[in-house]
Amino acid sequence: MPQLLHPSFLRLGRRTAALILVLLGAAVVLVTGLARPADASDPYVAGSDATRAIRLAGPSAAVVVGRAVGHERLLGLGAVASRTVDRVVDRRGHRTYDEVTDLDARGRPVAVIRYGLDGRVLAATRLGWQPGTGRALANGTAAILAAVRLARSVGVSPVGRGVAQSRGANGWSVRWDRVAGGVPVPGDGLRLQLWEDGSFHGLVLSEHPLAARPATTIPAARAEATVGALLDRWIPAAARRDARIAGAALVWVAPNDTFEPTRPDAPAEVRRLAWVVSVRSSGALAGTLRGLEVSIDAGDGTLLGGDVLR
Amino acid sequence: MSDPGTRHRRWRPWLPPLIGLIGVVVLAAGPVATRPVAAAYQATADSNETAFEPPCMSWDDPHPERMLTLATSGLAALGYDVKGYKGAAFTRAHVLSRTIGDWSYYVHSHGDYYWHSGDQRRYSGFREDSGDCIQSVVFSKDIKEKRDGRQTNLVVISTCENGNANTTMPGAFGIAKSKAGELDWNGPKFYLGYLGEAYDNDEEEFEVTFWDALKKGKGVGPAFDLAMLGDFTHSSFDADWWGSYVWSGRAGPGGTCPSCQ
Repeated sequence: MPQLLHPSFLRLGRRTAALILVLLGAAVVLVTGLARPADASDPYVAGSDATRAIRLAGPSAAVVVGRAVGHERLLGLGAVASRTVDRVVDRRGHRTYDEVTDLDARGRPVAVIRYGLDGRVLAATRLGWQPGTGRALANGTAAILAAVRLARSVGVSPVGRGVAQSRGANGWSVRWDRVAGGVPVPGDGLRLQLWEDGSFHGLVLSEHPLAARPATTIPAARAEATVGALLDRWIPAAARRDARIAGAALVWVAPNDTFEPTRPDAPAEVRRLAWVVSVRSSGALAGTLRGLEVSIDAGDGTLLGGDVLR
Repeated sequence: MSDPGTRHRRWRPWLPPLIGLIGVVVLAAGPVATRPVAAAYQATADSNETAFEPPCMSWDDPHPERMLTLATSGLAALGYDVKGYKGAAFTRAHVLSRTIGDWSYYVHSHGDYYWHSGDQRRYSGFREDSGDCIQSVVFSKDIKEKRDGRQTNLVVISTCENGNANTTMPGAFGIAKSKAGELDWNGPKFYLGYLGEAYDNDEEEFEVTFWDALKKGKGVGPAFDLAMLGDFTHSSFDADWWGSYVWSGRAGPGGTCPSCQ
């Protein structure tokens, strides 16, 4: 007999029974609250879960699996015995996607395919160290051709000029960097990883939203002068001459907290037009700091963030 | 005055719902696979922050502390008894003292293939923090001598140059530069490093996913492959690994190759 229907429980006083019900209610609230997936308004803090997932089932999972079945074959992902589908909230990356994990007959994950909520392929990887058994690709041109074929097979059309980079025994990396209005968007675009024989290893497609382009753009010289003044402040006088500005490039960047630790831990979702001023070091300073990239808003000249090369 | 036996019996009906409540809270705290186990396997995580904050620089770069948090959180989830060090606590002497007992090691600092004047040759290495602006190099040779072949689990060298083909750092931890795939087993060990010059944003992008995947029980190899799907802003960014792809990453000398049987 269930304990809650046991005579001794039913004989409890009203206050005791009410207290028990309150405790159970609190537990339900706690569990449903913790199980609730995060949304975009839940800011990422380093050390907390970067992603949160809920398992999809039924018709919503079936739609995603339907897409994956065809793509697995086209990418040569091998025999799949079963699949799981999760709706994943990437709290640091400001995005939500459906992730299909392919499992072999023993329940081991063998591949992952991610779809945007609009059904587009966002990423895929064949898990494992599988350098391939075919003849090695002859050169970068062959790698680009293989990558184009694979990308198009899953409905992704490379845009612009492909660049192939040999990764030794790890195969090839082929990338098409996104360019918006003639300006590069670092981190955005299409990148494929191929094994040495041209077989598929990984694919990632990124396209972040861009802020409105400023009506007027400050000259590169002003951005460099701003960074020069910041370096005067940031670097002790004795080492200042070891840091020199190597150039400035107009790019779309994610504002971040590199020089302002009070900003959020995650880089901003929306990319802003900026002059990225490169700083290289020499002498004793290079022993700890190789260089910096300082992002200056191309519209108003304010500091947007940057990057550090240790 | 109430009879003690009666008082005792009055509490009995509370027990099932209370046990249920405790059970629910424990389950809600996270999947069993990602909860830290009782740990006896020491791990050290070091991060060089002083080079990028006053007095060495007048701004406070948040990367070193954040990446230390990611590493300690990840290693704890894998069952290691991990302690994080930065500032004056992260010295060359501290690294060489702790390494004797380390099953796992993480460092985020300046790294290179440094000239060792005593041996008239180069070794891979990284710089200590030491809480000041003069930071000694910890050479792979130093670590190798201290460890003297002791078994290692997981090593993440979050610096430039320590994932290069010529790196001597894996050997310091007794990890051969070979990859064991699905049907192979190099033991419960995995070394991760970056190739050439690697910027902090790209390293962090990689490590956020790497540690997140490990905490979710995906294993070291899949965690590496998933981390490689990041939005890296420098086209030159690359990472490499050596060890056993199929290892879980969990602390200790055990572990098996599930696909080899």
